[in-house]
Amino acid sequence: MTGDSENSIPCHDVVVVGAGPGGAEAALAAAGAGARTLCLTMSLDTAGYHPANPTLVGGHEDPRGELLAEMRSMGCRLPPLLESDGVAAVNEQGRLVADRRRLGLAYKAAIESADNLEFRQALVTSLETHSGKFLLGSSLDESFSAGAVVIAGGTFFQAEVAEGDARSPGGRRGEIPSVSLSKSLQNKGILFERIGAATAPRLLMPPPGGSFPGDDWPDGLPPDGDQLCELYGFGLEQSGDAERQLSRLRQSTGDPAAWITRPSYAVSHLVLASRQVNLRLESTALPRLFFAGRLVGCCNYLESAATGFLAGLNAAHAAGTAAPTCLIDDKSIVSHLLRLVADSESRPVTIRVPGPGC
Amino acid sequence: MTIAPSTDGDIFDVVVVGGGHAGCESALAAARMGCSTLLLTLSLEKIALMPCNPAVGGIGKGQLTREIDALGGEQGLNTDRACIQMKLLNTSRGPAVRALRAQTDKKLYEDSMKRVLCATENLRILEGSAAGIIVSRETITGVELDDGSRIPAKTVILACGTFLGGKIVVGERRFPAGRMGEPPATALPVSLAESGLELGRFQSATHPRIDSRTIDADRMVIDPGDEHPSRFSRFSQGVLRNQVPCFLTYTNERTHSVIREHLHLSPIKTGSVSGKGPRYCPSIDRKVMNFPDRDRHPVFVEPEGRHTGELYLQGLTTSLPVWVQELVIHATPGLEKAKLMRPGYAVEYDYVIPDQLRLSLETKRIANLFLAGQINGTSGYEEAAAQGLIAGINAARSVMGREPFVLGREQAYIGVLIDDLVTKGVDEPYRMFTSRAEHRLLLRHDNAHARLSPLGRNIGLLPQSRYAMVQEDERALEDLLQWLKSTTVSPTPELNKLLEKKGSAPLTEGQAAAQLLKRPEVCINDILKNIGVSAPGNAGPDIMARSEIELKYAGYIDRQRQAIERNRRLEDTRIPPGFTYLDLEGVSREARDRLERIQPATLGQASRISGVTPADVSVLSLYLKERHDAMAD
Repeated sequence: MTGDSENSIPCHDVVVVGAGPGGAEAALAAAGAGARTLCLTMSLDTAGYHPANPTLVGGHEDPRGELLAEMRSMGCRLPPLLESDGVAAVNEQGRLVADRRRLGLAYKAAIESADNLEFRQALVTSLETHSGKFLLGSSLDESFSAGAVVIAGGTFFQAEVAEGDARSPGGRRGEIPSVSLSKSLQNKGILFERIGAATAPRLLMPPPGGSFPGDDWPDGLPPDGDQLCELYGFGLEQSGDAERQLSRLRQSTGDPAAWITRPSYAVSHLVLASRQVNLRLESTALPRLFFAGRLVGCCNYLESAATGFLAGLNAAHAAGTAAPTCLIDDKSIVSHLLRLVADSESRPVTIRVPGPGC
Repeated sequence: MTIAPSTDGDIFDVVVVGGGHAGCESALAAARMGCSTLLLTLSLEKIALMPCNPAVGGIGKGQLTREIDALGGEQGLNTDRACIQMKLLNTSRGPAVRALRAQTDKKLYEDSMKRVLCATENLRILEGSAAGIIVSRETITGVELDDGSRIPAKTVILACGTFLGGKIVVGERRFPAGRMGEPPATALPVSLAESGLELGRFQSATHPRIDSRTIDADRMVIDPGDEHPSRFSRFSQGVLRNQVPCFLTYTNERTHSVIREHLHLSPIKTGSVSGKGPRYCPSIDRKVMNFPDRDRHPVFVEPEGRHTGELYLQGLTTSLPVWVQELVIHATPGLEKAKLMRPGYAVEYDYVIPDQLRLSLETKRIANLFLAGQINGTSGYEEAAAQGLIAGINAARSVMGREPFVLGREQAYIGVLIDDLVTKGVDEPYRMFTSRAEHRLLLRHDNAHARLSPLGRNIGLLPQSRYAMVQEDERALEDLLQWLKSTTVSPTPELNKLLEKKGSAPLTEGQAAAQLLKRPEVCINDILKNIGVSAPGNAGPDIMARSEIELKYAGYIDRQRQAIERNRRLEDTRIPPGFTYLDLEGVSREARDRLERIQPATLGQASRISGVTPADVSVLSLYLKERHDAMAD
């Protein structure tokens, strides 16, 4: 039906599925290690995007600060991106907040300008193995071949968005889910389980003098991601439809004109069950297939990016490209994260212990 | 417990469904006119998204954007903020067909528009999905969301783009989507149909994007943009610098044979895409099918922004299978090694047949429900924004108890656009061209503000400070014209040499500058050089250009004005609302049915309805006169 023979299917050393922080770091790491890399995503516009908490590091006590430092010495792309103009800001208490839109665009620009790296919009719907290679198919009947694959599918696998009582298929509000690929993987004996997450609502920036509960926003820091008129409603995750959420907000703040720009909603989706990947983030069922990010149970942006980076390097190595070794200290946070991902029975996992929910 | 501006019991004056080019103009206009306004959008990350060309303007469209600017809308200003290249088109042809075209940085366009929305008083934005309209006694009362929430409203504007019942088609693949990666709106079109609105189906295709690192620019023509780039908005500050070049290549016989070889896989051929496509932006498959003797078609290679590697291939719209798209691209000179970043695709969607609207863009069936943009069967960001602006203005005026604001065909391209939609309906996605405007010599890019800013001011949308700038321009133009009329040009040897060089007859005696300027070959700088003075104080290059146009085309402009006057009687004869045509004797059944459906507001509009002949108009005119006389007695 496609009319092309296997010979004309483009062949890459590494194919990365997903371009969120996990996928973006994986793609950049693999390409940087010399692998001919292709990054496929269902949406080029949401590259590097993070839909939730713009606070990437909570403060000096937050282990994510240390994680970020380790990421810098490992060579991840995120630390320098956070230092580009207008992308992020840190306050005296060590709280690091990122403008999510700018961070996403910075990742996109980095991917588009990296050597050895192709970037393409495609919804991957199948993964097969053939003669020692992986064959990936898309919803538009495209085919791609790879020596090794990294899958960083985020919250999209067989995902459903819940808004009040309404349910709709979606990895995030307004975005379609990925269904077929996960089924394809399940058919190969890879085990998944279902977890959920709620996003906090976004609130209209209060006028000067106004405040929200839990609002310890120091002056000078940017508001939520878009540096425009929205604040991330920390701790205000709630169920119920938009009407109900608005009513509750107005009651609890005592402000009759308080406004929610993006109501809270929940996403339920598949992640890998425990013991589906080893410490190298490689699948225990299929060699040279790697996973990263939310799919391995990560809880936040930094963890996704860190695991993505390592998965990308390992994939490049598995594909036969000479990859620079990345020695990880046993006592490092990254090491702790990898052990959680590989060994922990529970999902999700996080380095933020004792952590609140993600 | 509903979604309202506050708990004080008030409801939103205007709810706009859709945050695209129409929706943004509607929301801004209504809010700026003082209405409490809500913009509802599926995604706050996709405000003012450009799904297709990374460009605003062009022939016919540029005129729309200028008019939006003149009235106090935002598209012109936002385009200037995000502009990365500007061209004035058709400079070698008459002023009636000159238009600006701007390449824009898509992300910057979105960010800037969102910034403006957030900074606008009276305007709230909400992320959510509209499942239906709430109607009571043939009047809109609000919008219902997917999650069951209700938003009561005095007026509602639907600006849903290609999302209604959207389906993407590529080769044999067909699946529900509003755009690639985004789910369609499935409940809303059902709600509209249930409310009695008739829907049609159209399809539109978008072009592939390729990686800018993989083109062979040396084999293409480079277009750097105008040397002295203009601005769309009269009110923009600053000059555009560091323009980003575009490239031009052409398909050739090899490209065409690749297409022909695989035409059997095109959904247009297989019929798996239903719905009419746009004639004036046809896919490359359609072009090769319909124009077999053309040996090449242009492909414009346009950057999507300053900081992205994505290039848009304008001229290669297609819904051929992706692997065929790659073959076609690789068979195009300069693109042999191009790597695809986004495949092209077609999207089918529902639209509301626009002859169900009044000239104010309110639906006839449901009071206070307005429709704007692609939902009315148009294509293009400019066409959408123009409708959005008018719908926003009229929703606001309805709330304020004022008469609708309607522009005539002789006043603006916006008038032509809406009159065409409402009076004639559409049988393919409507795109504006200068040829649609019979009065195009009067409706020019250069005089948009002169024509429309006074109206923008009157309705309270254009701020006084901006209107003052327009008034200043008009004074400067008047001064310059007076000066040209009263200044004599002497027949010096230098002047005559210049005239001879330009193929123009020499001057034998002194002549008013204005008179000499009537000659097509003579331009204002020639005269100024000869006289040795510069023009009166505040006449910048734009004013000078306008004075030339006014003088050179004075005869034609006068004739067009006279034609308008002659038709004035027809255009001004109003037909009372609720006039019934069913008993009209002497008028054909077909004409009666069409008149009954359209409910034209004037005899002029009636005369433009297809199926209504001049004889029918005469009969109608007599009826109206008799009725008027009878009522007077």
